[in-house]
Amino acid sequence: MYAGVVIVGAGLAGVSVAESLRNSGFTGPVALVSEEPHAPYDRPPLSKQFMLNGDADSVGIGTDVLKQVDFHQGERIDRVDAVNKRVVFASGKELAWNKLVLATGALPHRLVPLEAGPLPAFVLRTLGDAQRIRELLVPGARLVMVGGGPIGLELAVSARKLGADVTVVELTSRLMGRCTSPFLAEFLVQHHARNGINIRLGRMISQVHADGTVELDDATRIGADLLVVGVGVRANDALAAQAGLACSDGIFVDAFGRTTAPDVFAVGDVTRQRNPVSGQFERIETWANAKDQAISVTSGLLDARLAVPYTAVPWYWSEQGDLRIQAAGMPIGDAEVIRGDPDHNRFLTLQLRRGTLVGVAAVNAVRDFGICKKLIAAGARIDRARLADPGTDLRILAADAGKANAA
Amino acid sequence: MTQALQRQHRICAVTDIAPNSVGGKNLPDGRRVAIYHVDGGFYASDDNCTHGNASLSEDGTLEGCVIECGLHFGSFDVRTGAVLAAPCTRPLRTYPVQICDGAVWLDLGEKA
Repeated sequence: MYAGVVIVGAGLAGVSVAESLRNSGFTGPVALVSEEPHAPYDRPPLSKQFMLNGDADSVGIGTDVLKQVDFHQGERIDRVDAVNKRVVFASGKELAWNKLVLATGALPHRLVPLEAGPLPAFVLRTLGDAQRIRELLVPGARLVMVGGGPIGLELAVSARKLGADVTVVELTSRLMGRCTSPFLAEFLVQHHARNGINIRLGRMISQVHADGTVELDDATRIGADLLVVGVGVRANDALAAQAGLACSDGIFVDAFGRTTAPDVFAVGDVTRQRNPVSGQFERIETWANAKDQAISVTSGLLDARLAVPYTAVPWYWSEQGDLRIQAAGMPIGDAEVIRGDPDHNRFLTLQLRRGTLVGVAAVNAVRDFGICKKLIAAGARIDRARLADPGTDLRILAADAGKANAA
Repeated sequence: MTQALQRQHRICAVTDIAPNSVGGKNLPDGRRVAIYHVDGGFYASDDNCTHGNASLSEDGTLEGCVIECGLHFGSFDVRTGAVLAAPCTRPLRTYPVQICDGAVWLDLGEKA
């Protein structure tokens, strides 16, 4: 009997659970299982620092905790038995558990016809993906990036720095469509176009010719040496679904990370949880969620009396060349306020919903972002005119909102 | 005392940094350091976060002896430079501090 915790998946969420368990003084057995051939690593640098410097050592995470747990690297779990409380590895080996944590993450959507075509085609999710893409991003290489989301744009910027020609082909009419407002999306189009990235909105690849020429659905042709597809992810929830847990493109969890099976928890990208700002059950595919949800869930994993509900406002960052973008809450409300100076790459877009601040996106406005993120968490009512007034100090606005909330 | 402080650098007056706050100052070589006034004492570190492109003195939040970077919300212990929260993984370089004649002096060590 393995009277301990088994964590499936060693991305940030799984590693954070292991670290939290050890930090909380738990000395029982902990098994951390990763099917990847690498030691655990951080994903955000893959499209940025790692793409530029190729230094795999610099992206490692959890190096200390790996010495304190039973780490299974490159091993795949085939089946979860939630009734008899065990996991079955592809090798046939079994592990029993008292508590199971599923941190199996997400899988990138793939465009199979492109992968079968004449050009090398990749997704960017793992260190292995990043290494393979990096090898081809030599000066003069021609990259066609399918998808204008944060990862696609970050990779596009890195590829330009590496001397590649870059075209971004985005099916919808704007960049980062799922996570920004139209104002920021349009700003990004202008910014990246100025920096030499060819952006094709509202387009898709219709075919790739035998000589590697990419043809779009408006019949334009683009010479290409490689394709990278960044068109979103789906939950890697097959193990959970097979075990009978409630899933729908994500494992349903409550604010304590509990699934619909006793003693089975889930954290990170694989979960479908209630977004405290939108009120909807969503997958929250962010670095911050993977870490913070994992830490929060671990607090109640071994002793439910210690459980603290996880209610953090979702937020993410994206670094695209000179632009340090941070966003929290919802991408769009019913009214938008712009503060700052877009012409100098420093501004905030603020989203209000029925007079409450529900979203912020900051470009090179780090301090203001922190203030706004707290205001969103507080659910404070904000006077739109004051918010829009460039003379208003956000710190004073926040202090006033705090008083109003307390009253 | 001047003997002991010869390889030290006068960075600012103690009154420049209010209690429980942090300020950014330039070194002669152009690098920037963050000076923290906490717990009745002064501490100093590099101003750049070891993870992202952010200034701790400008973009960070100081709470007690913890400086939290505003860019990705990683944090450090200002007394030791130790990492307290991810995504930071590398510790912050800190500098020994002495207070003399109403000023904050940094020992920049051999590298300086």
